[in-house]
Amino acid sequence: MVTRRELLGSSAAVALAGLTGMGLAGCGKETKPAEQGVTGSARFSWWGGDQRAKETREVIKSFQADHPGATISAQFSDWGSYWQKLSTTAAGGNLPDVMQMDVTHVKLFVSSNQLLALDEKTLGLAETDKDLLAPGTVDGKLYAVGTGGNMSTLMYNQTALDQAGMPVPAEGFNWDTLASYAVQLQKKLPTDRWVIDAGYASIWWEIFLRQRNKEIWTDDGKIAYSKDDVLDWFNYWYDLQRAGVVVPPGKAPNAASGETADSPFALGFTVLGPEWSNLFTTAASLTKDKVEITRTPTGGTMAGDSINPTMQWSISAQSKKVELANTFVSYLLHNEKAITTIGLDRGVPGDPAARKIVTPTLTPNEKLVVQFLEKYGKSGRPVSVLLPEHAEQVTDALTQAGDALRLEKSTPTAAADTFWDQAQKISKS
Amino acid sequence: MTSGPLTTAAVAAPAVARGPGGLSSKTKESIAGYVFMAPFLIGLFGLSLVPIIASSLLSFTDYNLLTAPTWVGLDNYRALLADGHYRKSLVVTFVFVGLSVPTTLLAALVLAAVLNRGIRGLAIYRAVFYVPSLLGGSVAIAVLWRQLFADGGVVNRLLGFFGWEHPPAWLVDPDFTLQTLVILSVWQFGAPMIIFLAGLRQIPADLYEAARVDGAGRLAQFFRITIPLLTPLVLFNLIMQMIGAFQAFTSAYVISGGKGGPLDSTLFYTLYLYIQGFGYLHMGYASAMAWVLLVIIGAFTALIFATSRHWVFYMEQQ
Repeated sequence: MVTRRELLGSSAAVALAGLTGMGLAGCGKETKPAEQGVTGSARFSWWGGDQRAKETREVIKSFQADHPGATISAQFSDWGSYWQKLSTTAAGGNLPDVMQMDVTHVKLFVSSNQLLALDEKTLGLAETDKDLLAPGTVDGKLYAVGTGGNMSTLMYNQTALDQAGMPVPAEGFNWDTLASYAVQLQKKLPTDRWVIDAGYASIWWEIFLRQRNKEIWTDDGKIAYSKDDVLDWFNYWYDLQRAGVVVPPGKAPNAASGETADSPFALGFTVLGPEWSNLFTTAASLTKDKVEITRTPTGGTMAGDSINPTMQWSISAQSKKVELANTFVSYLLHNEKAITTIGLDRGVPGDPAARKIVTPTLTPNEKLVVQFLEKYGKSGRPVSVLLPEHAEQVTDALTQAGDALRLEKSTPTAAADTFWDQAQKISKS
Repeated sequence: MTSGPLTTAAVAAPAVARGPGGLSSKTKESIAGYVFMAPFLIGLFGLSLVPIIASSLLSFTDYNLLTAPTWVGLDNYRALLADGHYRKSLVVTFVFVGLSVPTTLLAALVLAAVLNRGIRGLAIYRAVFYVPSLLGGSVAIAVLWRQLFADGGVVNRLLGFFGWEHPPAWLVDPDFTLQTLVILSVWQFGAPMIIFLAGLRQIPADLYEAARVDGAGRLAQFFRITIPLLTPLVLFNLIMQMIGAFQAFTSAYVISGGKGGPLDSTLFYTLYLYIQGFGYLHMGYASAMAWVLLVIIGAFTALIFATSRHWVFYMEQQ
């Protein structure tokens, strides 16, 4: 999942704009369940930048004020080192009581018995969108609760489209209409501006596949799409590339870093692009132009997009402070102060009540994101399978195939062959 | 970590002084010696030796950190042979070592020879040339490098100024990315340069004098006196630079965004090891890679030592 990497690589940048909130919500002020025995000390860890750290510490402070005798000791780091630390502390049997989890790691942590099965009642999850619970559920048991949701979007530069005298991409766009629109648009763009960046390994890849297949992975981690799907996808972008609507790779040399600020869209070289909803406000803040989002192009036989948990909350299976941990997670999800302090930084809250609490505190662009999820979340199709441990390795193989095509070092057929062989090999080992 | 042994020593010392049949002064001295060595010994055994042994065992296992390792025998080593990325990382690393080490040594030697001619402000130049060695391995410099070699970066503007209309896309074109890293590495020639400079100063002046009397020109002096007498330092620098180059990591990690791209063109051995170990959690595989790297570096070092008796010249032997 490229997407994850983009999303998380840029967590520092995300924090800047304070994108997203947490929490599902519910009952307004304070959760009732699991109130007794919440004294002592629990450890809590997350990844993210300084802004997120500041907000999270504020929430911890108010939690401690509301629960005399309870202490939460906080640790945070950036995405890369977070997983190193978490894996090594897990190896030492010393995981933090409460931790920020991610869909890329849930399966691994659950299969090695590191996470506690959560109780929906204790955490008050009755109203929570199922989209935020399913990706943390293994064999019918919940191990990770979505902190909030995000969705893939088609982001466009309204100002640039106005200047070109082109209509905005209609929300019913499918892949074919997008392609013909792109060709038409390119003719009206000034030199040094292109329609889009090549999307071989973009966040749209999975959506394209899910429009044609039930899921991308089987339950036991095998590839669930066909080589023809890969070839069609590569051909689609290769044709666009040949048509001259794709930005040359040299224009955004740092794009590999995954930082939103380094993307050709943020640098003003492209006017359309795939983007996660929770990175939209960051992307919008990087340009003076007016930027908007609409739904990812449709295609295939069914919906491919879905609301995904931006992050998740999990509790360690070895925790000796289960009650305190439960109370704290509940607080993060339902407490009004917690919800408004974090805003959209951890995704759009998955519960209507929490969204109601957070919305009045948001900027116009953030409100747009909440509306987007409310509007398109229902037409999406929730993911029903967990990412296998080797998903990242397959993503890296996809990135490499995309690079080869982008740099014209390969043809779609050859690149699809190479990728297919690698992906099969990786998911068998 | 050190407080334990030190406390023991503090208690032990007066006890010895008081006791009638106390320890001999020689024993006392060696106890003190070991106490002083304790921080190092604890570090060596606790932080280096035990993990090294553990990694050698792990290299025969399948281990993802979260579940107990399972024994797989030589599977990891066998898998290395079939791994295309691994082969590519070997090629990239050998090319990098082959290009960067000789170039660095040459630059260091030439600069040292120039600086040794007694120019004014030598101390300043020495410091200026040495600074990159201190900074060059850092993340900040790698980030700076990325900016310098970017599409509209300083390097390409300079090349454009000198009339190169379509300079290479250094960071995007896989044919050029590795060169960028080689240049970054060569730029850090300061450390070997300082060593060469020290060596140059130790060559006795009477040798040059005698040579001049015999009618040798400057070039002849350089190749017949300077170079031979510097060979022990060339040997030292060669080995140190080579070992360092085989383990190069930071620059490639930063410049490629941690993935060794584009198209594996900056996939240094240690970077691939890191990706396998900490990215994919294939700790057993990564351990096997580490041991193979140890063997490779050991073999090259041994090779250089073996040939050294043919080209390294020690004055005392004369």
